[in-house]
Amino acid sequence: MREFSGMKTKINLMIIMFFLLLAPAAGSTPSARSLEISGAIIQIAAFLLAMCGSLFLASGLWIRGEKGSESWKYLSISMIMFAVWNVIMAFGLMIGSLMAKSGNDTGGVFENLLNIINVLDPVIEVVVFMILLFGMQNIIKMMRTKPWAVFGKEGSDE
Amino acid sequence: MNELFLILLNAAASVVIIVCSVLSLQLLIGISRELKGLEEIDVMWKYFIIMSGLFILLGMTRALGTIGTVIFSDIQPIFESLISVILIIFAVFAVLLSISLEEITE
Repeated sequence: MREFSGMKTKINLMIIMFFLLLAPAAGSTPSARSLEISGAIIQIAAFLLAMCGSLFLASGLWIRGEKGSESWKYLSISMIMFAVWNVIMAFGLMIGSLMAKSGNDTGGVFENLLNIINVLDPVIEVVVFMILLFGMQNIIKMMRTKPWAVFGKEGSDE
Repeated sequence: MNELFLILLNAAASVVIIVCSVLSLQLLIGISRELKGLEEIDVMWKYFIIMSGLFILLGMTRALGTIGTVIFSDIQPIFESLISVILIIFAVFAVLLSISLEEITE
């Protein structure tokens, strides 16, 4: 418990440091182009970070689902789909930046890819949230009807 | 690709996401009510509730931002930066939750 609060304090400090490091940059007057580039880089980094976090969580939830209620596996699948969404969004941003840089010399390949991404983006998001909703419904149902089975297999000897 | 088709697809997806988010939020409130009195696994459930709340917030922001951008295109940078911040904080709590889940396994 103390380890977690210590770790949480460290993570909070890291987040505060991250924003403090941005403060000097906020005081400067960059050009519009460099602002766009830095904005795109931060967005791509955020998507990749969320992808890593959600994959890490998905593995933990899957293991919990193997040892306890199957409802955790639905949340795990939701996190995996969320990771896929993050990858697609990061990819879409990179393609958008490449298209902006190269103008009309791409031969339509990037445009087609961007169109596919623009269609996949809302579809995957809807799937993520529907699976999340389903998983949470199952968990709460399990908590109300069989609370002992949320973290341990039903029927296992103690 | 037809702009109108993309707008309609995004609008429909946003509506579904908002509905799912509101229902998930109600379920999350239900889960936190069920947890009153459980002391052993407080840390894990605390992270679970925070992370789920962030996830729901992300969905709502994305959905409302998508609809808002269609009406006012100027708000796009604001909602994109909000999404980035929420994603970064979500990643932190996802890792914390995963670590606390492993502790329960042991």
